[in-house]
Amino acid sequence: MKWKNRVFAAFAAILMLCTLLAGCGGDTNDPAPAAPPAAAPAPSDGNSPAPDSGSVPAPAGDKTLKLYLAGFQNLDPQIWSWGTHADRMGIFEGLTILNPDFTTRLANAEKLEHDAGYTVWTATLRKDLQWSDGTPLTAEDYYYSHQRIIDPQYLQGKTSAFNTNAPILNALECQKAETGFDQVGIRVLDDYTIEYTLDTPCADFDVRLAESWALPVPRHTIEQYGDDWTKPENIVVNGPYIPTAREEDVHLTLGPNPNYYETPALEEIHLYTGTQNQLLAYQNGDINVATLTAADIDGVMADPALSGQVQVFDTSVLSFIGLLKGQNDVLQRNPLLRQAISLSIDRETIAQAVNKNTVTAAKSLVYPGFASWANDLDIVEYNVEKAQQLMSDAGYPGGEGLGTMTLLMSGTPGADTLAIADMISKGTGIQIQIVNLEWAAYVVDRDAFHEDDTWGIYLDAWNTSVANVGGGFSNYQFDMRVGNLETDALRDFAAASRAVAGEEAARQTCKNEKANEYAEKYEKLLKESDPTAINQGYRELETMRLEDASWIPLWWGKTTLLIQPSIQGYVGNPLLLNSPPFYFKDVSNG
Amino acid sequence: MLRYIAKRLAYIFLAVLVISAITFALLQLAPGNYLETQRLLEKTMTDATVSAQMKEAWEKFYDLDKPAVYRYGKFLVNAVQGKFGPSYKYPTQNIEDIIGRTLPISARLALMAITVALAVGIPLGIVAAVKQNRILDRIVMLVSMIGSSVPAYVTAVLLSWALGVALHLLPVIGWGDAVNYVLPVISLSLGPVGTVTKYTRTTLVETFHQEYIRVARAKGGNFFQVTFKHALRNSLIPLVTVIGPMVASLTVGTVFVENMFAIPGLGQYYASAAINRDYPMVMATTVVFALLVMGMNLLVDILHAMLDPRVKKSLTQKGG
Repeated sequence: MKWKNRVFAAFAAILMLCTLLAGCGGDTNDPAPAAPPAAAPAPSDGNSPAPDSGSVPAPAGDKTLKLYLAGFQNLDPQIWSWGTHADRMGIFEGLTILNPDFTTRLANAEKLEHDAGYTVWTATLRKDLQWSDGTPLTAEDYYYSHQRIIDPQYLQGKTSAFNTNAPILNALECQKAETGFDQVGIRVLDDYTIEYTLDTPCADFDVRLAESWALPVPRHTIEQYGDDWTKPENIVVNGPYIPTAREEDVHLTLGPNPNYYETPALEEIHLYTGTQNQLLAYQNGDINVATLTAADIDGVMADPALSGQVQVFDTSVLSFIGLLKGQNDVLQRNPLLRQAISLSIDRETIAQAVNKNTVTAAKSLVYPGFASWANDLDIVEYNVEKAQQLMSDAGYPGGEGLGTMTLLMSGTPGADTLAIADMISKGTGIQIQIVNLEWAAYVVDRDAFHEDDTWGIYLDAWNTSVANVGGGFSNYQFDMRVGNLETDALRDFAAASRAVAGEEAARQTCKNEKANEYAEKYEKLLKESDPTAINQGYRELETMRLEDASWIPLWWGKTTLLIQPSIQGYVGNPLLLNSPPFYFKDVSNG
Repeated sequence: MLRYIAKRLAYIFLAVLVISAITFALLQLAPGNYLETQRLLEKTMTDATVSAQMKEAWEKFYDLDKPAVYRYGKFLVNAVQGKFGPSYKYPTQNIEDIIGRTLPISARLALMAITVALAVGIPLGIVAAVKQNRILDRIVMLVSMIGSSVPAYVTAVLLSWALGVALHLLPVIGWGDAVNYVLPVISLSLGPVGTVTKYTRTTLVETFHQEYIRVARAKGGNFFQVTFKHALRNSLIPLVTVIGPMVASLTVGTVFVENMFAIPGLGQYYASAAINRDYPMVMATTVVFALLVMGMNLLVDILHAMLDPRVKKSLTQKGG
């Protein structure tokens, strides 16, 4: 029978296919054909501005940018999510835009002026600003937007993305519902002029204005659609690109905003979330920028074609050591022990040998991109001999009498964590027990006051999306006083931290002279208006903080990207995960 | 039969009630909360830090200022109406809307994978059974064993490399076009192909040894009549019991494949909700998935009973 033959032919074909597929095994971590490492060119330093193509023209591109982002679940720039970062890359546009060197350029503002004391800033808007639906954009839009993000009546029950680091007069008081928005230092002078009055001098308020909190939102659309205003069919934006399609949290498509005051270079931008498939997607041409994992790097660098497309960007992601809070406050009471711990860690070896140069050894808690002096402070060093001496000076030679120290971390300990534990143990003689917890459990344990005899340190990472030195000082966690609190104050601080109130009161109970001197100097610095004096002041504070060693810097993260040669103008933003571009409008592809 | 179905539906209702209560209790006991996992309480997020007043308003919005019993009761009342409210991570969207958009995508993927599994697995199983203990049988069983033992995430990577990077036949990310289905569906279906193949072979081999098959052969039935008309029809009936749970588990278990190929399904929401302590999302997806699994099992039992009178009799006796 003919069909019998057909059936068996079909079976045979399916069998062959299955066998073929099953036989497609191999080392999936190294899909690229091997080549001698010597053939691989060094990755270019992406922190420099994109290389000028010069006499070598860039390969033709298709005017699209396709890359992964950390997330874009919510495109309302005033409700905190990873989407607020996507918003400021070119979906919404504020008065200023951040440059790769952390200066700013004017965007919606055609003029930005300040008084001599840096406490009153006046922005004059461009006259040709429109929302994407053609509605004119005026100073009133900015006023409404600031009111919506600061006044708690507007975003009831949602996490406002207002930057508490922006020192607008009475803004924090309004956010806490202690005063009305009419008392906040924001005034509309006319349709195109808006004035900001600050409660402390701020010489880089233009930088703060470039952050997500200062993006305008369209009142008429929000009032029309409510929570649905950010859906692609409803959304109205003022940036160079507008969302045109969205597939849940996995794929967002942007196209040029027809009512933007310039014509952007890209015709389409595709944003994806997730990190599982980037190298394969890049090799297949589905995306044109990919983030490499540490496991991918050797294989990519061995590939002559791919290795030339590698660009490495520094990031402001700082890995650091903090002190656990508990009944046993031996580390809080003994700066020498903390210094010994810091001295026993060979950061350079961990960065180069263990982490394969995917990180840079940190010499400060301040990101070097914000302060040129951050790498010049010769306080953080590797010196086992000195560490051992300090242990003796502290009364614990070889770690004797201390018992076991907890090293708390989240997730599975990597080679770098094991190296840290080993180095501390060898350098100080302290016995170490690594405790690794799931993220949420880790956060609770890290911030808790341990009523038992638990004492020790925790490993954490932090990055600021605020592009200035002050961001590394204004948060409570890096306050020198927190590392020097006594037991009762530590307990109060831990409780206050959970309740999101009262931390300042707990910090003020600090009895450590140096820590209090640090706090006084910091308060004084906040009132300073001279940029040079501010810079010098932060340098002094950082010196004090590093010598105190209650917050110990470890290393700065790097992002390794594959970027197709046709893409021009891509400079990775060190403030954001995976170093996306600062501004989509600066990027072109053919 | 109707009494049996009614009884099963009552059991499902009770089971979902118990599952939701246990899930709710576990979530109350789990350390950490959404604001903490998002680092919004740490004072280290200098771009957005929740104040005490904002935290209070947030807690009020989600009834976290009320007793747990009240919250659970409210959840049940709303859940019966198919309402789950906004999640922590997606405060501007109702969870039922998210599920309504994403569950059909995950379910479609699962159904397509099962269809492929049946289309490939049944013929392979027949070949293996007919050629029992011969070389063809061994090859088929080897392939099916590989298919069912290699996890979908390994298959997905291999297929992406082979059919994407090496041959440039298919995109390895994206959704919407027909070509975007190929790699995810094959990745998801290889495991079920192996299972269906093995199941078909086993049941068919058993059937071949049944008295009535010998009778059919003795009466002069040829190979195809005996195999397809008599043996296969009866052998495939129990397969229904495998397919139902398989659809449910594939719908629930597509997280990695969805993430790998950038597919906007429900799996990713389910996976990230627990990590983020997004309790409303965890509760809603748990209930939906529990209903899906139990609903599929009920459907399978009903189908099985309709196909096999012996099963129907046994069920009605139990149900009655």
